[in-house]
Amino acid sequence: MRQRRSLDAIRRDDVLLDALGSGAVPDDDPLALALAGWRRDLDAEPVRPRRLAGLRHHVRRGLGSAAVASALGLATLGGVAAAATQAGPGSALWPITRVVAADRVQSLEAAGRARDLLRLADEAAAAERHDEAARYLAEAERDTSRVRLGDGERELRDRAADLRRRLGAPPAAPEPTASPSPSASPSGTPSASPSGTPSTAPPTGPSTSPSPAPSPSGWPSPRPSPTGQPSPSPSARPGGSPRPSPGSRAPSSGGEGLTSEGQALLRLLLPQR
Amino acid sequence: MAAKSAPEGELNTLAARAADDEPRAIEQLLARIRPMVVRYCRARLGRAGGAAHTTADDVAQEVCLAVLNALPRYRDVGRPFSAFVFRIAAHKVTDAHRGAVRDLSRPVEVLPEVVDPARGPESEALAAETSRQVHDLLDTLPPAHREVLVLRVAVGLSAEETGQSLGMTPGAVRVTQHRALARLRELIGRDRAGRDRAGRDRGGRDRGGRDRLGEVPA
Repeated sequence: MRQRRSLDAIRRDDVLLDALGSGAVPDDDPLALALAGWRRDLDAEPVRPRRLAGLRHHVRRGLGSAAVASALGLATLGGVAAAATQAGPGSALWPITRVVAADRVQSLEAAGRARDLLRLADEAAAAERHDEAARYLAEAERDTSRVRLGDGERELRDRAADLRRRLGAPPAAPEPTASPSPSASPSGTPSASPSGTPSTAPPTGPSTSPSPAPSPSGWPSPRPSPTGQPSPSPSARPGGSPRPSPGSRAPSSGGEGLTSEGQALLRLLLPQR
Repeated sequence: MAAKSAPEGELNTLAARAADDEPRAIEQLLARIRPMVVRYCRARLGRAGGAAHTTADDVAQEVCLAVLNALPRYRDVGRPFSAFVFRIAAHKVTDAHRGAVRDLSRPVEVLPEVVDPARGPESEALAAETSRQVHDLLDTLPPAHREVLVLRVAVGLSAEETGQSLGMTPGAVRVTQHRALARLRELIGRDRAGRDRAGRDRGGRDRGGRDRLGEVPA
């Protein structure tokens, strides 16, 4: 008898948990209601990851996000990275894109900001608040300089130039796109690679801009800006070995061909290979 | 009921295609598993150190990356993909726990106030509080019991999938989950009785919260 009741209770709980697991809300028992509320709350908040904890550690140690991108993109993720580098905001792959293609993320995010700023500048200009419009315009142009070709850079430049004409302002001084402007670095903590070499690791592909925009995910800026050195030297990589750019994806399945930092990063990221 | 054979089979197929580097499949796969992984990490890690689930979401992100990295190995394993995912997730959460500072001294308030599940924005805070209490309550369970409930309720795996993830038979899962629920009901009942006693200054033992579903001693 007792056995029978026990089996019934087990079955009843199984049905209850199936229901809770599918998001249903049973209405009979306080525990079930509490569990349903808990499950619901787990879904309530939008997902906002700050960073990848393991990556941050390495970025702190001086491994640039471009290096992270190429290490991950070329050596480990393969098709995922290829897909992620094409993804835009709103795609399920976007969070991965933020890691594997940090430079593209910076470009797209800068484009988004520039668009917003241009809209603000337009509004201010329409309301005859010219100083304000000029300020927004200048900010928009700063962001536009971080937008890569193909990410709407042309359209943004045209809009800015148009607005500048309407404001009667002189054309903007062309900003050197590749300049590692110190103001782009969010914190004043320069992180040097273990060897003391600045880990600039700029992408070398023709379509990628090595603009060190502030890291979108709140990482500390991976790149110290060598003062008085306007353009990052492509040879200033840790290890000094040539690394393929994220643009040229040579097929590679293991961690071979990576710098020691890349290898360490892979060991950190990959669960028990 | 939740993620039984049909969706699970679909997920396995999707995973196999993703393992072949099919970008569309990878994206779909990620879209499917990500909400489950996020709920899992939030359920396990709670709102550590603040009101938001930021830490849990960070870990969820790492889990997704690790799953994608491990995809090429999936085919050979011969387990449902969900089991593959949540073994990885369990490792990552354990690592995060190891590194996290946890406030173990915080007393457990047992009885969660029941919140209207069709709540408006104004009851968000109360819901978060309930959620925290349930989280604390689950933390009083033996780890295996808690893990079963997290996978069954928070993630929505079936008893079979849960068993595959944890290396248990489905029968063992069903017995474990029953014991875990019995334990939680007992805790809630005891707390409720205590409150009733305190509230009405009554000496007798109130068993109102217990035996409600005709449960038996585990």
